[in-house]
Amino acid sequence: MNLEQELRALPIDFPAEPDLAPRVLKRLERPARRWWLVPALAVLAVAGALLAIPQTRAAIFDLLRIGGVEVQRVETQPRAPVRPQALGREVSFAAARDAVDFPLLAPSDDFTAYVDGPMVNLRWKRYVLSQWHGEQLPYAQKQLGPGSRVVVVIVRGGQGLWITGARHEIIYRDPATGQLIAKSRRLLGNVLIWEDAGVTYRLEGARTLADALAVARNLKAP
Amino acid sequence: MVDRPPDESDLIERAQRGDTDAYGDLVRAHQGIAFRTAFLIARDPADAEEAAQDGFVKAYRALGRFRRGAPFRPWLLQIVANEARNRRRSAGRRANLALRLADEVRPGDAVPSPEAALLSDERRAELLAAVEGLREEERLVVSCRFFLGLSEDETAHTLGLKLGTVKSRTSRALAQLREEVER
Repeated sequence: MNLEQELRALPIDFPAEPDLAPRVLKRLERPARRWWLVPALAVLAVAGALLAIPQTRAAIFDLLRIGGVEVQRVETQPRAPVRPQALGREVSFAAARDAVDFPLLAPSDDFTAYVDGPMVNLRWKRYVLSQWHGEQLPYAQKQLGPGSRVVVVIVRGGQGLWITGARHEIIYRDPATGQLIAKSRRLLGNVLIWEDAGVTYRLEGARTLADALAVARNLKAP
Repeated sequence: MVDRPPDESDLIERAQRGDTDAYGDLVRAHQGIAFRTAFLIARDPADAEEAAQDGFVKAYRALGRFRRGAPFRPWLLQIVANEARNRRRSAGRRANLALRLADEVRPGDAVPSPEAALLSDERRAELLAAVEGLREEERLVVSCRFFLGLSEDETAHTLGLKLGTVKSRTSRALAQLREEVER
């Protein structure tokens, strides 16, 4: 009997297997897909003049939902309370890692980590990478004014968006207070957004799409 | 007409259309391996149970992205393994439960194979201790391959590794185990 067979024959004492099916099914009874309706309506209420491109509204909604971010084209950007332009609380990378329940991606360059609610921000050179679990921050919306451009791209094997041009804002509802918060961008300019396994990533500061994709490609989970 | 159980791709397709009964069948079919995978990573029965449960819920929500015809089990296990890893990370440096050998045959367990019976208890304990002494990255590969009976491909998928990495870690681990138990 060789070593591999011996290993296979080891009677590992696993704890008794729980019956998960009833509990899983119970959790599935709660509708999962409707959450975006709530913030969408809430934002409509705040922004009276909010207008998606009418003829392609449905298509835009489908096309431009990436992870926890919903991208909408608007004529006028809504006025919502603007938060101080901060990246959050500066922490060690280990602390940032502990703050979230997914493996963080990081660049190979030295960076500074910040935790901002359910979001982790890493800053290095001229870039900021934000990462959050779509389910934890499902209310993010990206509002694009006229003059901004959106390109659908493939990022790390999944669908992503490259947004350039005019100012844009992320709007989300604070999970604690229920208030709508507009995050005015800390860096103006271009943004690459993508989603992978339930985690939404947003990279700011890249000057070109090629640069953004190269940065995204080189991110690793340290 | 023969009434045979629906095959897995049927169940997946039905679950993708929102049929939770079909998904329930998938959960029952895979909950054992999902729980054991989570346990090998999280090393805590409660964490493993939660990780497996959350993994199944997340997998259901992600079913839209599941590629038709792809193997379901490794896809699911990867989600479960991530959940387990996150729990282990948040558990910090809490002492992990060591794996133990089942010391008696419980009712309902399979009768040990003649090969297993041939191994002395001492030898088994020594071998398990050697596995536990491996570096984490190698221990996980060995556990998936030999304790869970996953193929190399499934192990790679579950742990998010390249196939080549699984092969090299396996052979490195086996060499070290051999050295330790075959002195």
